[in-house]
Amino acid sequence: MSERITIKSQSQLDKMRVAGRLVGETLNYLEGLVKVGITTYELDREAEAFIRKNGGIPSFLNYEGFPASICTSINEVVVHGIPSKKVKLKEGDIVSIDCGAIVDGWHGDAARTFLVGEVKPEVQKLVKVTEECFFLGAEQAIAGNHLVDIARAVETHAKEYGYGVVRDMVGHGIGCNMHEPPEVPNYVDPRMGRGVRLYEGMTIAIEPMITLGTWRIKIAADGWTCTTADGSPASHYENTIIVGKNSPEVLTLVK
Amino acid sequence: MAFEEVSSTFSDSEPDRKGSFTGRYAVSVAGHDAGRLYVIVGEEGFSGMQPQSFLLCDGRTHRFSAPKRKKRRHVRLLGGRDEAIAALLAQGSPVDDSVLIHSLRCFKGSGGETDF
Repeated sequence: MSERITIKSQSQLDKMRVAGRLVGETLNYLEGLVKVGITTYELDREAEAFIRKNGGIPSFLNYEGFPASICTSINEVVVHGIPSKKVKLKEGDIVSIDCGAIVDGWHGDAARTFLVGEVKPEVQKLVKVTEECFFLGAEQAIAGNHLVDIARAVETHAKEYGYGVVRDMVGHGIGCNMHEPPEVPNYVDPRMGRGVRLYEGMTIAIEPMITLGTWRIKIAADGWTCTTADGSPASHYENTIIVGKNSPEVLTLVK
Repeated sequence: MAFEEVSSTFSDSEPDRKGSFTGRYAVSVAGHDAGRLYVIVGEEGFSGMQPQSFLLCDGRTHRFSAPKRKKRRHVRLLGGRDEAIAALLAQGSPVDDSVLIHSLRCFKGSGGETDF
């Protein structure tokens, strides 16, 4: 992670809007491909082709050695699942797809969790609540607030349902690097205090990772695949946003 | 892509962070040694609670007497820790290179997952 929190200029924010839009469009495109029988490798190939065809560079590919353009995280995999020719989506799965792109030197980063066929009602609920957690957290991303306001909003909503809120993976600042300060946690730790104050023009990625069970995770020997420690399903929802004066601007949500 | 926050800010098990990475396995993700597996034998350059660089050994190319220093962002932490090595380091004792080699061989052979 680079060293300083930066406030972006209008021209820089315009460039991030372009990158964010491409990421949102990529995820919309991938949503249409998610179905029983498709491999996560095929999804990755489609994502890379889409991003490049539309003038971007997939930012995950070779980032710290990550071998693909998207992360595909199924069921108990929280984040950073590596696409594989051997992994096919099955009826009842949930798959979180995390995607990033660079356009003209600026980054966008977002994630969605998609349902594959008929999914158990309690897991559908988890996915829906995770998305709600993002929007409740994002509402707090306004000038004058602090990181703890985002964290509190996310955690409070998740805990209303008895869900686990992953702690060891967090959101982050973003700009001309994928990961910039500050770190954007999804839960309140009293030792943190209020955290960094938010200013208009800061760009961050808020990404709740919520589970049906424990908040604890474990990372596989591959150094990437992150799963829930108790095997419970996990959902992930992320957008890149600009901290606004009265409300945030979500860059990676394209209707 | 989520950022892996490895400090104890979010973990209730290790309130004192100094030394809590020692004994853990890591892989280099940048430089001539990209892909090489190591054991973390030291931490340096703390900024707040987080070390900015690690001291790495594999018992062969980088022995305990001359560990390799790499920046944190050039290293990927893996899911595993050799508690015996960690205990030796916590006491300030040296670690024999054969112990490091054996530890890494066992970790590669296990291919399994380890809780944080």
